[in-house]
Amino acid sequence: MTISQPPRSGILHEDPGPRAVPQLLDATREFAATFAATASLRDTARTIPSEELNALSEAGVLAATVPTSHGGPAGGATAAFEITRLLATADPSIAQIPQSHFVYLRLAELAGSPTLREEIFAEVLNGARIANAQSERGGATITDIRTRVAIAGPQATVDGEKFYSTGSLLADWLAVLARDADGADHIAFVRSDAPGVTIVDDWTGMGQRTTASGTVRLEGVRLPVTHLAPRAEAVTGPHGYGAFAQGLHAAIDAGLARGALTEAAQFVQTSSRPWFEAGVDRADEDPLLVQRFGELEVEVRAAEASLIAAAVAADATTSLQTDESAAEASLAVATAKVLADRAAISVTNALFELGGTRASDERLNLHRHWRNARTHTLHDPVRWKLQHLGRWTVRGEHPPRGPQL
Amino acid sequence: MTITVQEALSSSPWAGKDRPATPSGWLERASDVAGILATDAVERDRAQAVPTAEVQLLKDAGLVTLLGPVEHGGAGETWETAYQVIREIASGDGSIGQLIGYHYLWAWAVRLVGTPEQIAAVEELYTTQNLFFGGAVNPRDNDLTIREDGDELVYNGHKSFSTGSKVSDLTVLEGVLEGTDKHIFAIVPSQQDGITFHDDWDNLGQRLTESGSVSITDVRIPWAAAAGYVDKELQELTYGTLNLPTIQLIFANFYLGIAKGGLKAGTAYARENTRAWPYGGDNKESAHEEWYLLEGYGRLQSQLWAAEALADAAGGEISGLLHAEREALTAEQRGHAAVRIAAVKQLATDVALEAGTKIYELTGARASRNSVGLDIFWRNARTHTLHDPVAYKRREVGEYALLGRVPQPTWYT
Repeated sequence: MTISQPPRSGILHEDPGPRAVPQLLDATREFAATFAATASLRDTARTIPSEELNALSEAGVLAATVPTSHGGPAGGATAAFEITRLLATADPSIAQIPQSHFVYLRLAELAGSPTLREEIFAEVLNGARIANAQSERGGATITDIRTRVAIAGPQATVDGEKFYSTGSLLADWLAVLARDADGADHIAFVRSDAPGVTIVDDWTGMGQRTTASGTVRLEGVRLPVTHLAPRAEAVTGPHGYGAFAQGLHAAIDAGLARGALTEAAQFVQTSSRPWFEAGVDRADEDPLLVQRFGELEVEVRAAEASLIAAAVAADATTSLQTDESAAEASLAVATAKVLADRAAISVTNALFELGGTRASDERLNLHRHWRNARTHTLHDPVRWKLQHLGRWTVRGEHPPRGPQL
Repeated sequence: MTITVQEALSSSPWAGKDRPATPSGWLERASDVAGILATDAVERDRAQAVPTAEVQLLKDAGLVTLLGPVEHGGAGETWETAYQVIREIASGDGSIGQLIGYHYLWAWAVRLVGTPEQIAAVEELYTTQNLFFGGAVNPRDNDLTIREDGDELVYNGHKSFSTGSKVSDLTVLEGVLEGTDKHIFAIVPSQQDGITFHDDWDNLGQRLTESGSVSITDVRIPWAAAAGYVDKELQELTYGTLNLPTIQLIFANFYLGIAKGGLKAGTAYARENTRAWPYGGDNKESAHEEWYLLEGYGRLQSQLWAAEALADAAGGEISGLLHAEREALTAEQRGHAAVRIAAVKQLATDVALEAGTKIYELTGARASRNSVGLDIFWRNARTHTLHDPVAYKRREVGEYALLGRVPQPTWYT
């Protein structure tokens, strides 16, 4: 596939040109309003949001982080977190699909060969999408990797099987984690239509049902070695890579919390009956209900504010790459993650308490918020974020650098 | 009752009245005492005088011999009742709740480790004479040293905390016999030349507990009085390890008493003084019509009741073990009681700290005047809840929930 052969997501722009970040955010807000209206239907029918993702790609939203050196708007963490959060307010499944897209763009920027960077950034500016193929079934922990890459001269061959490959069903590129004969890990940028690649739609999660997370099988998949990016330095160097990746997850939870709170407020305004003891005519005038909304608003705003702080700290690592700046990015993101996790779980539970019994009507599908929050917040254990924060606070220890922080 | 401790001592409010004969009667008695203590708890706390009068009040009320054998004039009540009495007393004055709680444990120490002969002698002594116990057994200090001198044991050393000992008649000591790993408990008269109280307890809260440090210099007991030793060998029972869950539940109960006292004082203040907020847009004539205040008190009261219910359940459980035949106790029974008590301890800690701070939010800025004295509840709760880290109690409950393991006996479990 080259630029002249459009990726599956299609190229609709005559001259796409990089759009500035504020315009991209405006566009994302408009998309979010549209996507919100159909989120419940997609969840119920488990419809993969391919049109929605295509629309985002076409508008250049998913090219927001392409560096200026390659003709992009270089929106960094600030743009990527906010785009993700805005999408999650409407449909957190849609928001999660580009998570690995943004992450592996960042990895290509940090560790990709010049050839790979040229190719990937140009294609992404034209609407191409990347999905991850990282996790593997079985193994003692998630670091136990059995997918192998064999390197022979200018060619490499990848064999293995991945699951939980979010977005893979809608991707043009797969970023495959594979280990070479010497035990070094690479990210192999594999085209999703390359011979030997099979993607199976088998994600059956309780929530985040339409994230297009499938199983990816790789059987003798060939690629040029220039499409292999060494993983170790990018992930463990002081580049804020893990903080960036994790911040996107926090953005999903923060957006999800806001979306659920907005829907709770709408429900109370339009559908709830006032409780008789309140002595008011409308449910939204019930003082105790209003009080509860106030408490939840604080939780969501705290998550949102910490997400902005996290984006600022993560972006600081692009200009200043030190142990300190990387640690600060990780700690700021860990904070955002904890607050977003709490806000998401808290609001999606309270939604029912606020709406009353009728909020549990199956036809409303309001429980998708809790299912989504409960599913996505399990991505990686939030208790470890608290450990890293605590170790820094009490012992001055920097958090370990890795893909999750 | 709105009389002070001093007035109660001179007017003998219980003279001529029938002695309570039921648990509820004793709780009523404890409630009377709590009312007297609450009257000037803040003033007494500030003055930090030696709580001799308070201890006398407990004696006069008959509460000191609540667990004492009936044949010697004790009430013969159970630990289940004792725990509720501790909570009630602490609702009037957290310090005095701690003193009576520790007294009950020390008075029971002879049952935990002593021989049947020692139990009979000690219980007769303290019950007939209405004696009050203190102790100097802080496990994080070095042990007292014990030297053998013929038929006597001689205790020496220093302890950082000796709650109640200064105002007590009898003190429980613990030490290690030189050249051995034998831990030996003994009960000795508190007022003797060999015991020097350093009067250095000047802490944030629980200020009337006389928990200062103490030096022990050549305090002698006959070998025969070494608790639980027969022919210089300890007759060890699993029952002896009940001391820790027993005292942990004492802690939890006086924390809950402190929370109850705080809620009582806060609501009393609010009824009289708290003014409605005039800028809310939903203005009320009086603060106690404000929804949010009512909700806040409702939340605190609910948390308190829930913790009290668990405390009572755990109290019933360990009370059953404490009053059963000593030899019958299994490690499993002890463990199940301990894990439930660990759960009560953390809930009680949370609710006491929450009540101590939240009452301010619900009463308003003027309630922070020193003359109101609402700070006594948070100070008391904050001070004693530092006794041992509550996170470890959660861990114990977690090990039980996850792995079905009961906590093993330690100096804090």
